Amino acid sequence: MSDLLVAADETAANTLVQTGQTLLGTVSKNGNGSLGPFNASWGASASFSGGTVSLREPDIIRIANCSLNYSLNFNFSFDLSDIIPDFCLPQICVRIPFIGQVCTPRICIDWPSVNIPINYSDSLQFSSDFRLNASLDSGKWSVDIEIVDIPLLQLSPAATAILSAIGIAAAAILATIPFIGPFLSVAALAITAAIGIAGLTGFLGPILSLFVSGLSFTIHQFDQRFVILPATSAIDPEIAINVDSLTALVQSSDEDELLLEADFSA
Amino acid sequence: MSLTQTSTVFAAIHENGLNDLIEAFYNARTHYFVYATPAFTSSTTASITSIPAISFPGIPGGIDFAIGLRQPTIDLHPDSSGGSAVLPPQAGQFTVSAKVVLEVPCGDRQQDFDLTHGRKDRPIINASPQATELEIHARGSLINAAGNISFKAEEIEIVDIAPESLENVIECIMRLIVNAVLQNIRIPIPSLTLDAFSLSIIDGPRIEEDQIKVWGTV
Repeated sequence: MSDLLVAADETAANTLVQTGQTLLGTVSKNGNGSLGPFNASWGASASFSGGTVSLREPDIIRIANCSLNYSLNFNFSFDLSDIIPDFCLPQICVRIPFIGQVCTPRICIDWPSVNIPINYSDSLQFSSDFRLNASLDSGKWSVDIEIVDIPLLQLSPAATAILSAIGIAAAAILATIPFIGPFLSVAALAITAAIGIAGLTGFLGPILSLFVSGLSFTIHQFDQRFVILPATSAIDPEIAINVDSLTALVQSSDEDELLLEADFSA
Repeated sequence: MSLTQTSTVFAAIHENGLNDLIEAFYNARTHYFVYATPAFTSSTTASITSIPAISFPGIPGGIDFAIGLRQPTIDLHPDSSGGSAVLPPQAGQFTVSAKVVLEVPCGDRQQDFDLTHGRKDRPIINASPQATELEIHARGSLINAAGNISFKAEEIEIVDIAPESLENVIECIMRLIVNAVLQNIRIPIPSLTLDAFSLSIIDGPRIEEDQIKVWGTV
């Protein structure tokens, strides 16, 4: 029998998971990706909250409807000439009596490159199994839960919203470009069409998957030298024990419980 | 039957773990177990608590002595001694066993005269220390006090003392001393969950199956 046994039901386990989510805080990542035919640099941050915990033998914590709260900012640049053909206004010459021939210059429109920045924040829910693991590292015991499989993320609503935002942002930026007026709606449409829902979903998937792939929450952490009573004076130094082993598991009886078993020495 | 039963959190410390904890306590704060008068120590340290000598008319400086409990061992019900326990723990009880060392310097205290302060006591000379070691066994129950688990001895037994009246007198004194020592040994309830939870106790502490058990909510 272990020196110390702690059992927590699903309600208490839920508290531990919430602690883990808080401890993890906000995670940030950045990189580059393809957005349709365009390249986009992106930065993203995400945090996790909520969810309902259920326990499964021998070591699984299932979290249903965990919220992935993310903020995404990306900037994609492209040459407008890639989607709207450059064109030239031909030279027109007219003969004017007493003046002679007058010609307009040949005017060619070479569409510029534009940058479209997009900021988007949203949350989505996912459900997944996490495996319990207790480990000792650099004098600290950690009880972690690590995601078992990468869950399916429902990205379509976000993709639709972002695509719409891209269309609006593109139209605003394009409106400042000389001579684009007649092509404005065509250009904006061409951009969103070139990206497409599928393209955007394909863009978001790898980014947001980075946050859930290998996702791990530290649900409890403490020093291997565990202080029972702190020092109160020179003659009353701290009282501590060494936690020599720690096991985390799930046990089912008439209730599913998360167990922590510890052995320690003076 | 689940461990948490109708609560959300359950914690239990086994008597082996409890004795490790007491060992840690004993090693760090030995002065709660060892007491001595000025003939043995001039001040309180982490190892020893300085107490005044027993005042007695005609004995300058009083009667010096030292008393110390060696590291106690606790047995939680049921009895783990295999039947050899002097005071086996009953349901809901613990037994604590320890050796008590009582020592007296047994010599004359040298005196001289200080013109400023009058008579001055000096260390005992020609001391031939006398010591005895008693094995004591106490039986008692737990106290839940202000978020801590503490111990209270209710019965005490010292073997091999005669006559019985002397045994009774010494047991009476020892019960007071053992309880004074035990009240310093406290286990903060949050430490029973390795600080994983801020626990509100709704049941316990109870002694069952060689363990101290508590149930609570987060």
